[in-house]
Amino acid sequence: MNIGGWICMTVAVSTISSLFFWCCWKMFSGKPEQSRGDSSNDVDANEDYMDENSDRRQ
Amino acid sequence: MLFFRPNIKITIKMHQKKTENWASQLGVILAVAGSAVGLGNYLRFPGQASLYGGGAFMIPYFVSLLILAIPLTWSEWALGRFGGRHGYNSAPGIYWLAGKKSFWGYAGTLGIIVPLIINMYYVYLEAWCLLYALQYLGGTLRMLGLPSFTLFEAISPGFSLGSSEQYGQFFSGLVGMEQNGSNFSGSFFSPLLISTVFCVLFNFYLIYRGITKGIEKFCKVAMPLLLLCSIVILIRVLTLGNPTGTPGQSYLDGLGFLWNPTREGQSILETLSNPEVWLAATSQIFFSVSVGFGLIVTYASYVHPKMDIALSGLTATSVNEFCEVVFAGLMIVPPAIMFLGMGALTPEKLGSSLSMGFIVLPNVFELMPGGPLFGFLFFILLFLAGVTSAISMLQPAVSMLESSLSFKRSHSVLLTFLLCATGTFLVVWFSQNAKMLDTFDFWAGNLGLFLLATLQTILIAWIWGKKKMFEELDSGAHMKVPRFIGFVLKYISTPYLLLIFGFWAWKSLGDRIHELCTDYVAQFAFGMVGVTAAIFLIITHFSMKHWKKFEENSQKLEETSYKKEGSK
Repeated sequence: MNIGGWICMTVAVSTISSLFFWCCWKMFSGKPEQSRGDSSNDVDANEDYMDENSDRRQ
Repeated sequence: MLFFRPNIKITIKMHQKKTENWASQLGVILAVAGSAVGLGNYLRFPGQASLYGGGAFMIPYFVSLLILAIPLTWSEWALGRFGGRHGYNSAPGIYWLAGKKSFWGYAGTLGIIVPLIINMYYVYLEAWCLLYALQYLGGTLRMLGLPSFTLFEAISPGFSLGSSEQYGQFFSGLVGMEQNGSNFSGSFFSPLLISTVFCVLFNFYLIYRGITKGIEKFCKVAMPLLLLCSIVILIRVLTLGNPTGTPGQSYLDGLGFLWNPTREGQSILETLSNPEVWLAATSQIFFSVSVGFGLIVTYASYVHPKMDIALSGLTATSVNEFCEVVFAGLMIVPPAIMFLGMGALTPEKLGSSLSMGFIVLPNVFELMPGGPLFGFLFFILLFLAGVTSAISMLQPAVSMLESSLSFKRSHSVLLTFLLCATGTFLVVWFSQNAKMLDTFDFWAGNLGLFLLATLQTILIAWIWGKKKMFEELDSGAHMKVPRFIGFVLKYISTPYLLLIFGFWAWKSLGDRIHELCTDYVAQFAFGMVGVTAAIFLIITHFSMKHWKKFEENSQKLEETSYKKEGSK
């Protein structure tokens, strides 16, 4: 592999890896930047939302 | 505008049965990433990159990622959830709601037809992967001294055919490339037929189980497994050294074949001035990120309005790119060079994902120490990637039938199953030179995809508007989406997409139209695409009348509610 190949591979792999790990880190540690509600407990929120919709339609 | 009036609960627009939502943010990310990570990542990307200039190919590839894939992904997530919060879970309904004209409803039908047609042949590829994986499993068991089995007559467990030519002949015979109907001659229950039937039923079982219990649950297991298999294979490839001891066949030589930006007699600038390189890179991005399929729109419509979609969209794209550039870029091409030499990867083999996956790599596993185990892991990886992608292609049609015709899930799944099973049967029957598969792939997987992506980008950027897109992206966001994405989507992505689409149509359509006039299998395939399109266009046509009435009633309800609040 020549020097150009090394540069291309390093840039591509490191850029994508950085993006991937940044997203993972942000996903598991981040808080909502701008939220219309608390999404900290997604499952409960989801169930409430579904129940609410169901009740209103009735 | 109507959609964001604070006092009127959006829920009054939920004109359907109780809508299911994703149970967790991780679940939806893995489901969307699973939909995007498929055979195209592991087999098509290394071939295309090697063929179109190696490192130089990565320049248009990254440009396409930045100006097309990421903006389009975010816009699709936003549009999808916007539709979902108003009770629409299918592309026609969502497009109609955003575009406010019947044309957009009909255009959205492409978001059902394209994935459904692709599924008809994709499940057949899934069946090949499963079959190969089971064959290697037999070899792995034998390696461990346990009772082994073989699925193919006269072939030992784990495959040992000796050369790429023999693997080529075996593969042609297995999938019936020589003659139409050969998959049904001899024993009716051939391993390939059993595998195909199993894959069709398995996909539909997962779809029948629903968004949370079926798709999400499966993706939460399959995606980590897929990543684990990739890591194990990558470690094995990195520790191979130079197994044959032949100069010019080391791991680094293999990497150089894929990544070196200069080719003999061709500079980087010459490569970049070739429009075909740009077309190949853009197509690869489309195939791999799954934008413009109508899949993200459908999946995003099931996301809870308070859940993040900005970071989820970027994470799903980054998982897909990680699998493609890091795993596939480092583990597919080098072993082929190490064991078979530079001559093994001809343009013909590199250009065809099928040759790369089912002819070249089995030859590599035959020569690799511990080959059956790594062959098993590799094909299981492809099978899992195939299933997660295939199920995402069925959901848009099922959602459409459920929401538009108020069908029960079981009835929607059954109707979609009948349509898909017919298409898959045609693919299996007309197996000669994979003509049916190839024609489906062209009209749905290429033309349909480009057309849908172009229309969708115009709809979001120019009609629905970036203001609403950012409002949607900001709701529950774990990251702030840069505002210049709106500018990029409107003034860069759209013209770039039109340019690429025009170049592709000019390059490819002529031959295909000629083929359509002369080849009866191509006509048959086109007819199947037409019938599928007609069914969903008719459903959309009648659904739009219902949607219009419903929106009018919703508006009246809102006005009444405002008056009541005013009088208080």
